Amino acid sequence: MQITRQVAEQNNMIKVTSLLVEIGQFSGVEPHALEFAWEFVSKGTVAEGSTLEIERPPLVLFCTHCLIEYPGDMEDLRCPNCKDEVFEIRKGREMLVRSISGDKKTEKE
Amino acid sequence: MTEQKIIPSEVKVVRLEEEILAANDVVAAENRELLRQKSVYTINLISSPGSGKTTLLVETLKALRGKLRCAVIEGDQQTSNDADRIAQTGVPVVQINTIGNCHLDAPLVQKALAQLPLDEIDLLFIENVGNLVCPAGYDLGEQEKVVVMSVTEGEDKPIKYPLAFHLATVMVLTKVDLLPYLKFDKDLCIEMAHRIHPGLPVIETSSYTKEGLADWVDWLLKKCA
Repeated sequence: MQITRQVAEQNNMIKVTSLLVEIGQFSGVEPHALEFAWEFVSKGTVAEGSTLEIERPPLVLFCTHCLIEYPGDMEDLRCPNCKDEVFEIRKGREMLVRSISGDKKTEKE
Repeated sequence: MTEQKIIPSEVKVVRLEEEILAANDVVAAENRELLRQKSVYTINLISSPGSGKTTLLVETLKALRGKLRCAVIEGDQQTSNDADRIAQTGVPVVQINTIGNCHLDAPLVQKALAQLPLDEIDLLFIENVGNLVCPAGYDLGEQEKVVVMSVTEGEDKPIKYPLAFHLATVMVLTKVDLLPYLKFDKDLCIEMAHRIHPGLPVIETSSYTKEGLADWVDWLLKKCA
């Protein structure tokens, strides 16, 4: 909401109509809960009634032993090849606001 | 004269790549720097409600008496019951009531830090709100996240709440004195934790029989050495 308010202000938006957010599968955020919360948080603000479009990047892991990227199984993060070696999270923890759209206030002579 | 005219059809799209938790992360970095300057080692304790976190903490504080100067930040939605229990051990404690919130965030911790005698503290425990979901997502400025889980919970907690177990540097399994009375499959639980976090050290404890407490205390002493 803080980001939205700032962007709306800086861009002379009179109304925020939609937001595109990226919520990774491994971020711990439940999209339905976020949508539900957004409706309440945005009430009475410049973003009231705005739609929230949520992208869900899947979990992508990288095995530092086999040097391969592999799709993460949320219940077993280990590399499918070597099982117990160390891995890095390449994708899936994102929590980003990608864009904000709104109606702009215009000044005319 | 400029006349303001609203043309709703004029749509503006602002492209950003802004981290939603950026505001939290900035404050978390400030907390981390302050704690580093004051040489305070900080541990963020994450668990479900009822895991025995506060009891473990009380026993830990007693065991560390005379070895390390400890302090505690207690996070709960309501009441100061836990802070009262900690205060009885004689260590400085600050209670944060998050009211509606299910987790602590870095600004709340920053306020609590201002109320603690940081120059006189070696080890700070932040007892997060009992919840395995949101607390995992918020950096508070700590050095380590420790996940606490009791044997009275389902053994599949690690795969149900993978982020907490993935980010933790150690898992403390509590109430192990109850194992003979439960169907809890300890090996399966540890195996599941290792699916999410290979090599995650597991310390088995009982705050009642004091079993394993020495291992946990040793782990803490090594971290602060």
